[in-house]
Amino acid sequence: MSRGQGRRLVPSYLAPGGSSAPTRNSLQALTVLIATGLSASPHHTPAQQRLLDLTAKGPLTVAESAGYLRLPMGVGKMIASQLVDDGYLMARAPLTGLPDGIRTPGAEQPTKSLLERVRDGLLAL
Amino acid sequence: MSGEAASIPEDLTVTAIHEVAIAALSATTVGSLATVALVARSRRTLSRSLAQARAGAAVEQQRRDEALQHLVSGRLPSLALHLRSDHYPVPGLGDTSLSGTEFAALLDSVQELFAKVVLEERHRVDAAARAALRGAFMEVQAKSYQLQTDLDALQQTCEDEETLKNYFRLDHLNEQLVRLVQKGAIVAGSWPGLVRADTHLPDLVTGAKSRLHGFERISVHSKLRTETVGVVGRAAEPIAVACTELLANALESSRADLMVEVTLLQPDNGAVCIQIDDAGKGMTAEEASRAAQLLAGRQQALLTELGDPPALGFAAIGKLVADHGFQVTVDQASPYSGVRAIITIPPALVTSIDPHTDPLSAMSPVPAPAPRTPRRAITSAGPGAVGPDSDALPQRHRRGRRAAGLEERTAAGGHPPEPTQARSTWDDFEQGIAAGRAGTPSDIRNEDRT
Repeated sequence: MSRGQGRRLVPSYLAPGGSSAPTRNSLQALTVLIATGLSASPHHTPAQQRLLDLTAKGPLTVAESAGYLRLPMGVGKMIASQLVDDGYLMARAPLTGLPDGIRTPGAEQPTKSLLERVRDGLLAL
Repeated sequence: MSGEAASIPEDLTVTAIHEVAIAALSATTVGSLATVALVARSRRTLSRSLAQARAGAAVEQQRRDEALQHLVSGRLPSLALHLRSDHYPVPGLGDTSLSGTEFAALLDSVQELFAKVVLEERHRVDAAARAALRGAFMEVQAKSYQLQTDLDALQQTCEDEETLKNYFRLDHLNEQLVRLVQKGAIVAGSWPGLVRADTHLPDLVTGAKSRLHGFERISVHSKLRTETVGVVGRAAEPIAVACTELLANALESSRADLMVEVTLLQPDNGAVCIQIDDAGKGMTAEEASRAAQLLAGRQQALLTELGDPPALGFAAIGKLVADHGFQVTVDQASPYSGVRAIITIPPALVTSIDPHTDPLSAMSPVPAPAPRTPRRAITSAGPGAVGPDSDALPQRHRRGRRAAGLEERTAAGGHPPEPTQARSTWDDFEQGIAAGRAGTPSDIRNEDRT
């Protein structure tokens, strides 16, 4: 949002749009969002449309989508919840503690070698 | 007369003396009588002309008195009203017989002095009022910016939806407050109060919209040809303020269920336009001419001329236009019978911003899809591709689709891939496909999204 060190120009309250009913969803940062195939309609805010565009390319966690959109995590959760309520997105709980039958696409347990590569990458920054 | 009596001769005989005396006396008497008659006549003439002169002077005095009375009770009060509003006429000298005289010139100079003093005093009082307002508004503006910083920081970490909504409400209220005091400060002679970096035009308009109550009714469409269109830093906040005021007018003058349509356009002359259409009741000719006068920004508007409550919007825009050199017009009708307001940003204030290093806000309007063009890329993609006229069997174009997806993602976020990097990514992808077909779990999908 705030670009560089300047004063904020575009506030976050534009992201979820107007009066939104409280959602019953309790999304977590690692909840995976999956597109249901419905495309964005004109009543969606630009942030919601961008989230739908992102998830149309493949499942994505709430945290990642908020990062891509450069929104605070809470705001990302809020717009994701709205889209889940309206049926534009499906939410899948994170992998941990789930029976094997409900596997989240793209959320398999990372292998040791991948984790090592992530660590090396982070250290190299 | 006594001189004539003394001139009688003494050396004559008695008779002669007598006759002579008689003759002399009679002559003297006749002369005296004639003299008396002449003198009397001249006295009459004199007194008559004196009376005439007195009467003339009295008339003249009366005329002057009347002219002076007319100045005090007629011309000066009318002039005072005329200086407030041009609608009041100012009467002239009144008595034309005085015109051209020194007295009339003196009266005119009194009137000129009166007008000069009234205007000077009005400007002095207005400047004092503006200075007081400016000081107060700028302090409030600074405090509101502090509040904005704090509220924004709270939103960054808050994850509870209800709390976040409360923060949103407060943040929006604060933005409206900033807008009101900033507008007042600008009319009072202040600068907009902050300098921004070069800013994407869609972000600027979105930011302007966020400062208004009822922003949900504003729909922004970007018809910009690229995502690089930006406004130079020094003009960014002024244009945002001008845009906010025009949007506020559009919202106020149209019904609560009507949308305000904003379109970002890029004509061929290098300028960029923000076009604001409302479906309201429009402006009367008088309102339009008054608006045009204020928007031209040629003269500083006085607070006393802005009405009660003062209409500050156009006056603020006029000041910004004069200071920063963009143009604002409100003289056209919108296609929906309301007003079409256009902000024209000249090429000197337009800049290019790399959307990869400096991406647009997620809340900015999604750019319009490019016009449909023939997909020549498919027909020339390679040996596997089949033209529409070909006799060959139709084939699936998975590679083409996937490549298109990659391009979209590149456009949405990261850098354009280096050729070597692209090749390795592509190789990874091919391996992933192969692994997927072989039925083995793969990590490539996760890695792919970095």
